[in-house]
Amino acid sequence: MSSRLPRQPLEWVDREKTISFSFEGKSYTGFEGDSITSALLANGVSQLGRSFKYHRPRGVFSLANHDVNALCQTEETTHIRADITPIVEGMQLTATNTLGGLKNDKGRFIQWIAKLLPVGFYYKAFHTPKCLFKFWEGIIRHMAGLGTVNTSWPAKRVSKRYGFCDFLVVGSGPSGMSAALEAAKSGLNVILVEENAHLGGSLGYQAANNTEVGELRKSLKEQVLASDNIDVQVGSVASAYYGDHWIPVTGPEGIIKVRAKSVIVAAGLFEQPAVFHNNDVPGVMLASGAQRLVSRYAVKPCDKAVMLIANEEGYQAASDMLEAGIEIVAIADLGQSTQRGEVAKAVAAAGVTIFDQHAIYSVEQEQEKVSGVTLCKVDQDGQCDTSSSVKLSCDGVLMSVGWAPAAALLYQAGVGMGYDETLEQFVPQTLPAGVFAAGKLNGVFDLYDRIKDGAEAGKQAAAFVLGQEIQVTRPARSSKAHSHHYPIFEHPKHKNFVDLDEDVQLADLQNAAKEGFDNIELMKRFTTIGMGPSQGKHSNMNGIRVLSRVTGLSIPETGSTTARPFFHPVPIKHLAGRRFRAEQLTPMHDFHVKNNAVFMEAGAWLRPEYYGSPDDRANAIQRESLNVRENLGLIDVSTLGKIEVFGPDAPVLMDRLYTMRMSNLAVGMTRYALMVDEAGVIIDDGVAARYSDEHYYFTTTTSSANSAFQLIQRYIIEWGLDVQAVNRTGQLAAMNLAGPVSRAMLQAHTDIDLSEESFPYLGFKKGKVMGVPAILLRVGFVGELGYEIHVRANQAGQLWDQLMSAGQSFGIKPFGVEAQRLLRLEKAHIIVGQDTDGLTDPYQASMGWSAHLKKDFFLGKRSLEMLKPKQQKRLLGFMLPKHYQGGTPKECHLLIKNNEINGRVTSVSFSPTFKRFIGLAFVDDPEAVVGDSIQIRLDDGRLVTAELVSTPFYDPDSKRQKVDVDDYQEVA
Amino acid sequence: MNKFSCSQIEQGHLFHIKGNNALSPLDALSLQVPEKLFHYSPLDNMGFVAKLGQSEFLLYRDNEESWDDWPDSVSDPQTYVFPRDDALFTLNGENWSEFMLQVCSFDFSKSTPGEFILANMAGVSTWFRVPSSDEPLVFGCDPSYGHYLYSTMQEILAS
Repeated sequence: MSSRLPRQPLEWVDREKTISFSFEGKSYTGFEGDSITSALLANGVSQLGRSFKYHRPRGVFSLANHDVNALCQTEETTHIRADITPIVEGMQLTATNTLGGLKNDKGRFIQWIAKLLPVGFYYKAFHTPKCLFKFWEGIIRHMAGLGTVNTSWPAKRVSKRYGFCDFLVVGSGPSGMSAALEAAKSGLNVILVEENAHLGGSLGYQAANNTEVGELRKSLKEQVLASDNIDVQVGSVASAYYGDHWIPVTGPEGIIKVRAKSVIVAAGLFEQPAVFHNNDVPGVMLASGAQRLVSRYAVKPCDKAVMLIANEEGYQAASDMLEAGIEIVAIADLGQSTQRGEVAKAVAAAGVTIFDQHAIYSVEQEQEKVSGVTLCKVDQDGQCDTSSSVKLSCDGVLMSVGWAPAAALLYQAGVGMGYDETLEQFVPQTLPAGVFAAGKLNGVFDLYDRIKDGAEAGKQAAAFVLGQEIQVTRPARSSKAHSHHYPIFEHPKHKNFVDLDEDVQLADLQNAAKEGFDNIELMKRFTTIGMGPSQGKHSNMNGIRVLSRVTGLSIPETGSTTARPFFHPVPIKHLAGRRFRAEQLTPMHDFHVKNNAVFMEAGAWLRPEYYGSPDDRANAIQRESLNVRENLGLIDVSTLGKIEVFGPDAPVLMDRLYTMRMSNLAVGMTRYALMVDEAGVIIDDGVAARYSDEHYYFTTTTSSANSAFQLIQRYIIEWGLDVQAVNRTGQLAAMNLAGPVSRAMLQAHTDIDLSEESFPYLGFKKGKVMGVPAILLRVGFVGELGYEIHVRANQAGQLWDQLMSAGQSFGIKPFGVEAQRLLRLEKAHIIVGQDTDGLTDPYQASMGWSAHLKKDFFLGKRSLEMLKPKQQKRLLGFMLPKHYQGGTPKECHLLIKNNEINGRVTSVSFSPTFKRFIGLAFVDDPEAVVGDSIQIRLDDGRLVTAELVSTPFYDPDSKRQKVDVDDYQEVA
Repeated sequence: MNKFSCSQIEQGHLFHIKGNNALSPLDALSLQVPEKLFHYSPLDNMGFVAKLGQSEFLLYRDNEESWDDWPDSVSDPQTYVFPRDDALFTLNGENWSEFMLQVCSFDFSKSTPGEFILANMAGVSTWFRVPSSDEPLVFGCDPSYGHYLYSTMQEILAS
């Protein structure tokens, strides 16, 4: 471990526990608590990855998850962020995005042709010939991939849970901890979210050896950890902000969806890099990254460093490096070191050479590592004077030239961010209710001011939650700049990267702006700056500065982009969480399973599609349908919506809800019930039964049960009716016993008189079936004599079994949804949602008879009055020739007339009754009449001729539904 | 060992009472009705009368008496009594509100004994009888979702 330092006061590693792992096939050891990056650096491995586009060597940069220079993968997982992922015993890692390994990556030669590959080159170079774009796309994706996804990995589900608090504090630096402590004084609950494994924020790595700072850090941490009402979530990221303080906190165990009453964002700053030639070579890193490396992991970033500095924080970093035994060869200060405070004086006094008004012009490299730098004098505008260059030998370059606020949550919360030209930093200006900002992100830099700023924000948040009015005095923002206004330096050989994730260079941005992508949002999308995994944490600020300079606009005029949720990458398994996919079963489900039902989903319900083997699907459906026509079938229709309405205004409600008149429905009878919306579009249908003058029971389609009930409740309130509604869908089960012998079979097992005189078609009766209280509805959706039997859910399974047993001698068989669809198609009964769409009105569905426009009012009446004379299409029946042998027409196949679309098929099936294909189709020709031909275009483009026929296809006089018909052939 | 457990309740009788005179059958049974909306009055064992609206109540009797015919005996035309076959469960565990964070977006830590909560649990509309400290949480849902909710709870408990 050549680069491991002696024990550091705040180090995270446990030197008693050694961990073995491998990287790129070589074995290494580290300590428990090491990240992959720190362990590799400790072993002298500086090259950790290859860049996205040019496959340039990359090393540690921020060590804060603000860049993705060090991305690794294992056999099972890809996109492992080495900077923050702890090493695990036996871990076998390789770098992502290499062609043949990290050292010998064949892709590294791409950088030599970089001039030919500016941003957007693929759009410009490969858009013609169009046929080759796919070819080029494949190559580009192969070269620019980020890791290999192992699609055969086992699905891992993690918990996603809810959390609640009065205060959510983001960031546990001095501001965050003091805010949490102050808010907690209210006695209310605080959640404190910290991205790292330990509390402290920048106190944990800046000035780590300073005794005074150490005491403050220790005191704040102890108070936070001792507080009963502060829930500390370390290793967690507040990943996004949604309305009403709804924040997903992504932690090691998954996402906690936190609903907070107020949010205090004290997330600090992202250090920003300088842009110069070869600023991406391994060994070039942010000064704060070097401080993290030393303080947390006791690892040297380099032996001999040259630093580029534009603020006091840079000199503090230099001091920390000196303390750690790292030689500072020289410091290039973009301004005057004499203006950097006491710490700069101390560094100078330590004998470090400081070049004021100097920049790093370029980095030299040997064996893909830093070997030296060239400094140049720089003027106020950032122009380098190459005639005054100084060459220095070093193995590391540390930069501290500025900061950008970690303000993604604030942007998402609607905070107005403005550019403070004193600070050279975006800061919050207007905050929405319940959202507070504190600390460096708020422009407050002095340590004691940050503690006060956090505490005052905590007070404000507490007052907000408690509904109190208070006056607080927030500390003033810093009076000097902590960021350089333009730390970006031209170089004729380029390779001066603004965005390391996407390999975006200075010239790419300048050219994009000159090409017209001169708006910050446009430039982002064209160049992809800020669109990589780091989401612009290290690149957006410099991108804004570059655009500002090219356009001549100020930074405020240039504006900034908004980081969208989630602003920080989150594993897909965390987003997915545990799968809650609600599923409804009918009480007869066990029977269906035992009888080999093949299930289909109908909303949340599982319904038997048919019974039998999937290999025999078509035959099974036809067998089931024929058995209903010839003998007796039983289908589970428990999934139908079942609603009761009662009260003095029940008839009024029913008249207004449905197109047909319901107030004149006789007690004891049922009626078809069609519902349209305000636009006259069909939204539901079913059967309504009148129990008494003030009491109706009606069914809805399976998928509309809940929506219909909601609509009914809404209109009861809106219309001010004295009526109440109860949704009994799941409480009642239903089954339809259908077939010519249904009456004969059922009569022996019920106390209800089923004779035609006593119980006519469309009647209903209450009584007992097999001793079970039941409601019988005599309806005929499938076109045969039939009885819908509605019973309590807990009695339905037993009743079904008894009916199946009792019906054996009558040839009873269960039938599924597909057979029912075929049977109703033969009767030309529509299925809402299949034979109608989001625009279909009753006239288009050839159901004008169902719209009783003479009623005073019903939902959608005015629309239907307008639509009635304007029909441009109709739902009509068609048949294919009897011995047709060609391709199968399908639902949604188009009708073609004179090479124009003339309609579409809504339902089609082979009818065993008619021994040919029959169907329903919308025909866009109001003049079309029975006997005309239509042409249906099949999948393969062939046209099939069909004949428009009158409907119902089967039993047009509905004789079979009204009397026992023994001679099946007579009506078929 | 898991500190929570979930069981199904197989016995008892549940009724949904609604109508302009919905109070009358409860008065006839001398049952105490809660004054506040979305609260319940406890009955023997885990029974309760919950107030869902000014004219809407949920009654659960956890006893062995036959109540199957009770709805039919209520003859008031302004009162409708519907027997319900909800899937019923208990969640046992001292800090059950902590477990509920995994399945429900309602903050049960702020609820108080006597509250009757209607909320969505793992995608299913569910009612909850918030218990006193020494009782389990009782909750119920549409019977068609019972198998799903039970298996979901068991899966979470097993993990």
